[in-house]
Amino acid sequence: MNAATATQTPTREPERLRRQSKLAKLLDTGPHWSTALVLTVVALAAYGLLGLMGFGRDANEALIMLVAVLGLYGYSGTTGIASFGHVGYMAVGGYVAMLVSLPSYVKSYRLTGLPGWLSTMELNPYLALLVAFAAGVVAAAIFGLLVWRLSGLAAGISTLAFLLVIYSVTSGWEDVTGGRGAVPGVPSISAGPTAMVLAVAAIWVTTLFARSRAARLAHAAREDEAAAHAIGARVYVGRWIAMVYSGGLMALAGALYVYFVGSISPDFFYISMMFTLLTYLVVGGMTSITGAVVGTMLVQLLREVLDPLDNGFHVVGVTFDGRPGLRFVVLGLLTLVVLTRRPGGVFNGFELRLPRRKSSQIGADDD
Amino acid sequence: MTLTVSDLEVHYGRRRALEGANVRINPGEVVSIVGPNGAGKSTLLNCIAGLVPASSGAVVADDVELTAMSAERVVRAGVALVPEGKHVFASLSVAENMRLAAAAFRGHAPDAIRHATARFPKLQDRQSQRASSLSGGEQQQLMIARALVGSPKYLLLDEPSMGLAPQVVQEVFAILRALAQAGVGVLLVEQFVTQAVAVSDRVHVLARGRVGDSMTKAEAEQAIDAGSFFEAYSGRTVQPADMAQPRPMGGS
Amino acid sequence: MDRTLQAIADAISSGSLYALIAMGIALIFGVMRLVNMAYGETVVATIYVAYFLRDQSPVVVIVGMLLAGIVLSVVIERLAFRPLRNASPTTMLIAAFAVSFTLQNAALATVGASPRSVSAGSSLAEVRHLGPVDVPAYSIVTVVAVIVIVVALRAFLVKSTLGIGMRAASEDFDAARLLGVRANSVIRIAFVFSGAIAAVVGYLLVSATGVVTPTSGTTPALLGFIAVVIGGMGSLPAAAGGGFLLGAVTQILQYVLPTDALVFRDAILFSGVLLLLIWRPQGLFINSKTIQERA
Repeated sequence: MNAATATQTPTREPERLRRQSKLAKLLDTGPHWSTALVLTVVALAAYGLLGLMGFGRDANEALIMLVAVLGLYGYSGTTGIASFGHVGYMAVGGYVAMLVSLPSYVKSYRLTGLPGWLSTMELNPYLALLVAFAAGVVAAAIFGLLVWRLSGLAAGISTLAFLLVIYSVTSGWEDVTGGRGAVPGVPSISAGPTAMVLAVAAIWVTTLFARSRAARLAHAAREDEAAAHAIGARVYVGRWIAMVYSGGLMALAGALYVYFVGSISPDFFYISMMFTLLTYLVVGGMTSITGAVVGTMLVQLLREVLDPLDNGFHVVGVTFDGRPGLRFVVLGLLTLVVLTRRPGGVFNGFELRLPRRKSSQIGADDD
Repeated sequence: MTLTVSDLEVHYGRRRALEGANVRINPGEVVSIVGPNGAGKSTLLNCIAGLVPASSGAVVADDVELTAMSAERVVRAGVALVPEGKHVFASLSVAENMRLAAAAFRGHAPDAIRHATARFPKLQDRQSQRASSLSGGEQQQLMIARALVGSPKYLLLDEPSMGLAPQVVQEVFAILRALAQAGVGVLLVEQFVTQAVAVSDRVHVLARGRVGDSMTKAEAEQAIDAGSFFEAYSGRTVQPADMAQPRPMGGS
Repeated sequence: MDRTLQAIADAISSGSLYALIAMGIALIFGVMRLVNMAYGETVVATIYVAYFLRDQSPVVVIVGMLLAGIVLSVVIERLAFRPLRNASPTTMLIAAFAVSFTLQNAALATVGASPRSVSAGSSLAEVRHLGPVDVPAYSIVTVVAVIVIVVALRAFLVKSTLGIGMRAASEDFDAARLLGVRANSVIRIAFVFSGAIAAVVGYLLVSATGVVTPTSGTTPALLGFIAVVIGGMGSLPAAAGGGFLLGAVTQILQYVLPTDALVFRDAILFSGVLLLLIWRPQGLFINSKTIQERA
């Protein structure tokens, strides 16, 4: 018995939103094509801001993280299943990209366990991105088939098990993945433009996906598990498609990340990365794309602003030496505050859009 | 000495589940609230009992304001809720269920338990049995017995007839009548209209979150006989079109 | 044959430790439906306390660890989890993750990343010879500790009114509140026990490894959550069973796998976990009767 239904709790502020009619013109309950437009502008503006503030490199990283967060949203945001292991797809993408594009002379001495055809392969890194995406799609398709009937905690833990398997393989299989040691020679790409193009593309494609039937099917399963079972297998197909989409996107992000950093390690794609992505999603709000995008850029900005906590600062006669990890303490506390005060995140499930021309009613359908 | 619900409102998110509810129960009377599914009957009881917060309005029992109290304190204040559905602790024995109920109250637990189970001979025989092995009717009796351990002044019941055979329902309702005679104020929420009216002193209709004014048992029975039960309450309170007319008892 | 016996002894020892961790996590899951992701950090915190008390007598160290585990757990409950009591399971889970992350970085920022060597329990690293097997003393203590804690918990849950209240609250939280069971008390007690177990786990863990870093707790905790899920959520014995199984199988794999394949031990283990989850998502040790009772 629940005093309140699973997705709603009693509130003492029933009419608050209706009073904010001006804001209502900019908000919607589902993503509109103009959402993608608005978010593109937001993302590029934030990118520019970071660049102006002198954090050019981190601006690129922000866009790459954005691709990853959109991937995570594609699954957790639609199905409602908290996935801890999706970072595993980033690992898949990162390692596949590395394996196909690493110069063969490096592979010949560092990754001796590779089959001949792979050892001699030296794909153009941009092509490798495509291969990485495909690898993520395939991995997600297989994994999605295995777990599509699982829900709730079992589903979440299954993704964790997935991550642990991947982590174990990437750390242990020295001859093929380089294990925990350094792998030199990772080719470089012009991270900025590539990340920009891909991030914008990800925003648009994810918006399309969120409006698709598959996403709605996946969403149906989340709202009422029992009713969804009554509808039948189609709901599981929705979940599977969400998994495939998110796997591909996150693999792409993983590959981008490897090129961006210039090296690879199993620890890139483990708990730390998982939590970073989760923070981005939580602050903005896990249930809307706007939340994902704005949350990512906001938290990334915050990370930069808080950097002096880690590395020390000297201001008006006050010197602070800096304690590494301190800014993550602040970020962690921020996440907790958001979760306890406003669990839906800043956007609470709403999407930004261009102002409606007709009415100011929330939920009015003028598509 | 009454339990008074004044202008009680409950919202879930932006949805208003209960609107301006006004109900009063005096000790020794049985008041029924009837209405269709989803009307807000459980919400009303859960709010009085402290499981669900009110967004506005008040609940006062014998001059004690219950409105913002948590469930644990409401029951100690003498208002006990028997919730809808199966809520005996299946993995505990009957005795353990009763012992748990008694733990919240001062006074000699064994006496309180004996007093509460006095009306339920079947339970007395099954003290050490796991609650899950009891029949549906016995489980309902256990739930009522548990609620009685603290000698509550007001007893709230959420659809006690659900899932029970008609004869068992009669037994349960007879117990409620006896409790009222012993001075307890009983608030009963039911879908089983005719039976509820038969055991009540007063009846309210609740539909779409709104509670109608109370009618006496006589008025209610007259309306049922005339086939116009819900029309007796139409107008601002309920929309009779969504509900089937209750049939008079003894007829079909 | 001796090698087999040794494998079995190690399996029992490892299984017992993970059974403890799983119980610490299951206690809280039972009453709150929350997987306490921060459990690993709680264990690590107790070890750091042992480090800071390293010049004190063993009794002070143990008491200090117990206090640390209990206090930290209760504080986390009050500040992070209580406001979220009615939130969705997903939100609670993420919050737990956030606590874990914050604590890890707090440790990083205060004591730093370099490993500290901790002498608490080092006497337990002595190897005893029990017939054909060599068993470090901490293994024996682990098994004893598990048995004692399981028996004590069982007694508490069955005999005391508070314990019955906890069982009731685990089964049906709101119905328990309607009987006057104080929600806050039940949850706080669960955290107190969980924190105490964390201290025991910390002691046993550090007697085996001898060092501590801010991330020492991540892997044991992860294994603990997995154990609770595969064993069966909401049931203390099932969780202990899941923990025991996971720990035992880890050790057995260690013995059984050819040397080349040892690096893949975890990959094999977790693939097995995956298959288990797909086959029996409700948990290994939960049968349909138990599910009916909880429905």
